[in-house]
Amino acid sequence: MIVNLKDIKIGQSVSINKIDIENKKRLLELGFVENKKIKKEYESIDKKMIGIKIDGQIIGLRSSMCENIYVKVGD
Amino acid sequence: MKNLILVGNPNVGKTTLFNKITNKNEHTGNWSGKTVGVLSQEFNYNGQKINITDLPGVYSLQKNSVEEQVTINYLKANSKDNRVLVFVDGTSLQKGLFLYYQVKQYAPDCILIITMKDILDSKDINIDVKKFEKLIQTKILYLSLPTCDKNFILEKVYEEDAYEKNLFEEFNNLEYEEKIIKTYEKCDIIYKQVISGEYSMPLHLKKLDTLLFNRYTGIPILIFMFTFVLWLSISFSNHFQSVLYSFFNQVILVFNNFFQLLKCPPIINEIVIGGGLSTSFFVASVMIPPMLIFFPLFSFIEEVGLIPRIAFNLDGLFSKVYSNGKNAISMMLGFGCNCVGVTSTRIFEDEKLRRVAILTNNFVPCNGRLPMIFFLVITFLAKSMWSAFLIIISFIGFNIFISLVVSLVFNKLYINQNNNFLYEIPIYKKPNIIKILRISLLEKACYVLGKSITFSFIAGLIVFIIKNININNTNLLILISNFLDPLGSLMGLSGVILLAFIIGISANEIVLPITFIIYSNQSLFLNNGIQNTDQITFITAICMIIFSLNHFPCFASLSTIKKETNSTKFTLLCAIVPTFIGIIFCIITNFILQSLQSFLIF
Repeated sequence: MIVNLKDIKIGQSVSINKIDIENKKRLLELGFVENKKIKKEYESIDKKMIGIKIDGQIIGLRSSMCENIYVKVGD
Repeated sequence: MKNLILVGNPNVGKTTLFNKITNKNEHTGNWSGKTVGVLSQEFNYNGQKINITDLPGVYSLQKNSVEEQVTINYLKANSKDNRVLVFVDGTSLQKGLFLYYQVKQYAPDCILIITMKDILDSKDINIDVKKFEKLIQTKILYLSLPTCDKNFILEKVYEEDAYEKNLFEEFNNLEYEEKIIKTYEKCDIIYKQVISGEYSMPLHLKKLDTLLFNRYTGIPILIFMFTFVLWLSISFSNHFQSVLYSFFNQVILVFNNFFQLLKCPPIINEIVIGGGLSTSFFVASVMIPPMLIFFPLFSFIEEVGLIPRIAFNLDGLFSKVYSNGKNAISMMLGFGCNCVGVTSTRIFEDEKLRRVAILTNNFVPCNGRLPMIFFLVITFLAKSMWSAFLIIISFIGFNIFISLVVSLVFNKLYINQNNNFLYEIPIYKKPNIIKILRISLLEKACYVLGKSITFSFIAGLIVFIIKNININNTNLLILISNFLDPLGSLMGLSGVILLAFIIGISANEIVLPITFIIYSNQSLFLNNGIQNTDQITFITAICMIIFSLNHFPCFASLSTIKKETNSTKFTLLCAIVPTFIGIIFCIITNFILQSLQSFLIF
C-alpha cells in the first residue's frame, strides 16, 4: 500500500516509493532513494518536524516535506 | 610539502583527529556544522613536514551551503596530488560510503577512516575490514578515535598499500540524480556484505528522546535546561562577585603600597591603578563567575548531542517567522559570543535566511554583555537572588521575542515563503567531563577573559588619562558627554553612559567600568567607588540593561559580519537596526517609569 510519509506512525518501517519534490537533489544525497528502507523515529513537540532513520542515521525533516514523499507499507 | 586532507560527513571525528595530530584544541562537539572553515596546520612526521587540512563536513560534493562550498572548492583544487582521508561514521556506513565515492571522483589517493568502533563493538556489530578493502580497492582504518594513538594512525596512513590510486568514474555518463541513485545502489550492495548488524540507539537513550520530543514533557525540559543554566550562573555570580571584588580590592591595595614604596609620581599611580588596573579587575570580577558556570554547561550540552535536538524541537517556532531550526543553533552560540553565532550561520543553505539570522544574532546577549546585566540587576534592581533570576529571565526572554519579531519582519520582506528544512540528529555521546572542563575553563574562558582584561586595561588607561586632561579649562570627556546628554537623558541614561557604550564598541564588557571611571573621582576599588556612584538609579539601570541588549554589535562582531557577508551596507544595517530599536525602547521605558515615579511620589 502506498501512503504519505507524514501519515505513518512512530516506530513504523516502510520503504521509499516516490519523492514528489521539485528539487529533490538534497534528499537523494541523504539517501532518500527508491526502495530504501526507512523508519519514522520521532516527531517534534509541535509535530512540525519528523525524525526519519535512514542508513543508520536520523534526519529531521519538516513534516511539510514529508507530504511529498510517498512510501510503501508492508512488502 | 605533502598535504593530508580530512573530509567526511558532519560530526564523524575529523576535527578530533586534527586536534590529536596537531596537539591543537579546535572546537569539537556533537552536532553537525561546528567546523565552518578550513583548518590547516603543519606537523612533523618521520622528519618530514606535512600540512594537515580539516574541511567542514558535507553530505555530497554539490553546493548546498557556504560550508559545503568551502569543502568542494578546496577538494577540487587540492585533492588530485594529495592523500585524502575520507571519514565515515560506522553507525551510518552507507551514507559515508556514498560520500567516499563522490570524493573518489576527484581524489585518486584516498583512505577510508571508519570511526565509532567502540559504539559498534558495544552492540556486537562487526565490520569485515579485509573484505571491505577488497570490494572498494582502498585501504581502510577502522578505529575508535578518542582512544586511538596518533602515531598508530599516522603509521597506518603512510604505510604502503597495494591498491591502485584511480579515480571513480563508473557512473560519469549519467545525469546527477541518476548517478546518486546508482551510487547508493552500489553502496547498499557493499554494505550488506561487510557488516554483521545494524546499529540502534540503546533503550534508555531512546526513552530520553521520547521525553525530549513529547509535547507534555519536551517544553518543560527545554525551559528547565535554559533556566537552570541561567539560575546557576546568576546565583554563582551573586555570591562570588562580591568575594572577587574584595579580593581585587586587596590586590589594588598591594599595588598601591608597592607604588608608594617605589616613590612613583602620584599621576602614574592614579593612571595605572585608577585607570588600567581598576577597569580590568572590575571586568574580571563581573565576568569570571558567570563564565565558570556558563561555559562548562554549554560545552556539556554540545558534547552530549542536545543542540540538534533543541533545533529539531524549535523549528516549528522559527518556521512561524519564516526561518528554521538552524537559527536556534546560531542563537544558542550567540550566548557564548556573537562572533561565533554569526560564523555559525554558514550552516544555512539559503543566503537571505542566513543574513537575517546574522542580523538578529546581536539580540542575544553574549558573554560580554551578560555579566553586565547580572551586575546591574543584582546591584540596582533585585533584593533577592530569586527576584534577580526572574528579572534577568524576563529581560532575555523579551529580547528573544524582539529577535523573532525582527526575523519575521525581514524574512517577510525578503523571503516571504516557508522554506524546507533538514537536519541531522546525531546519536548521544558520553561526555568526557575532564575534556569539557579543560576546554571550557582553561581554554575558552581564559581566552575570553584574557582578551577582555587586555582591552579593558588599555581602555581604562586611555579614558583615565583623557579624563585628567583639560584643554582651555574644558575636559574632553565632559565635552562629549555634554553633547550626548540630551539624547542620553531622553533614553533614561546620560551622556556619560552613552559615551561608555560608544567606547564599549571595542569590547562590550568595558561599558560598566568606563561609566564608573568617568562618574567617580576615585578608583573603582579604593574608597568603594561603585557604591558611591549615585548617578545610576533604578530607572537608569533598567534603561542600561535594555540598551545593552539592543545596541550596535562590538567591533569584533561587526568585522565578522563584514567578513562573512562581504557587505559594508549590511554590516551598517546590523549596527543600525538594534541601536534604533534600543533607543526607541529606552525612550518608551524611561517615559513610562518617570511618569509612574512622579505618580507614585505624588
